[in-house]
Formats: sequence, structure tokens, C-alpha cells
Amino acid sequence: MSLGQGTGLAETRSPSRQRSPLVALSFALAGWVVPGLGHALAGRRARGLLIFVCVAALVVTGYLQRGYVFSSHSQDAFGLLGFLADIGAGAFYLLAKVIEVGGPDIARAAGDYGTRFIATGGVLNVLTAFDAFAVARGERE
Amino acid sequence: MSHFGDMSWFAALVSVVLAVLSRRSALDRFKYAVVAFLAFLFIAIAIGWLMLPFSH
Repeated sequence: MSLGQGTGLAETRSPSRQRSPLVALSFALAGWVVPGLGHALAGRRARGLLIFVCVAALVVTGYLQRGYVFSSHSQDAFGLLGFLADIGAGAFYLLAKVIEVGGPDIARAAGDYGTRFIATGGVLNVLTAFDAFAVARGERE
Repeated sequence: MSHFGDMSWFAALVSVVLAVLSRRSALDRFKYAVVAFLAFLFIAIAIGWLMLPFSH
């Protein structure tokens, strides 16, 4: 008996269906914009929900701790890398200004930690988007 | 949240996502997440102790 059975979170173990590269790419893009959506579209709803909750928790925690959100106008390489990591969170990147109304405060340790929470959430979401592509292609279960 | 609380929360969330991505069965994911979470905490605390002599 696997974990999740009888809880409504057990994933449908249908055989992995191989979709076209274009469809798989669209699932990956959907997973990037809304964390977990790519897996949900590929029939792995429980996995998608778990991914959404974790990525959302990471990014929102970062915003609540007033972490620094990098913009696309960063002048140096580190700023560009930070932006690429942050934009990995997809739609959550756009929520930064809504949630973090006071702006960043990295003078405090919490703000500095928040910067890492946001970047990590973005990077993990990009990884999950790649996974959604592989699942949609039937290369992974 | 305390520093330790921040670290634990971070470790828990990252461990779960990595487990989801790297293991296929639910039981394997659970085991991986627990081991990764404990490894995060152990390594962070160990590094903290190693840095202690340099903090004075």
C-alpha cells in the first residue's frame, strides 16, 4: 500500500502516455507559469499539487520576509542570475509587488534569508517544469 | 521566525520537492525527503560549529 491511498492524494497510476514534443513543451511552460500545472495536465495531479504548495510556500515566505526581488534591469552578472532564478517562479514573480508592499529589507537577516527563499523557489520550479516535460513525453513516470 | 525555524522550513520544502523529482514511489519519496531534511539540518549545524572559532 502506498502513501496517499485513501486520502485522495494518491496519483492515478495510468501508464505513461507519450505526448508530442510540442504538447510536452506546452505542459512544461504551463508548469513554469503556474507551479505544478504541467504535472497536473500530464495526469499527475497529486505531484502537481505538492509542487505548487512547496514552491508557493518558498516564494511567499521569501516575500513575507522582505527578500530582495531582482529585476530585469540588473547591471551585473549576479543581478542577472538572481533575476533568472526569481523569474523561475513564474506567476509568483508578478505577485512580488502585491505581497511585498514594503519593498525589500536585506539589512536584516530575515530579509537576506527571504532573498534565498525566493530564488530557491524559482530554481526548483524550473526543475519541476523540466520534469513535467519528461513526464509528458513518457520518459518518466 | 527564528534562524533555526527559517532553516528548518527551507529544508523541509526543498526536501519535499527534491524527493518528488528524484523518486518514483510514494514510500521512496517519503524516505528521501526525511533523509534530505535531516541532512540539511545536520550539515548546517555542523558547519555552524566549524565556523564558531572564527567568530571571535
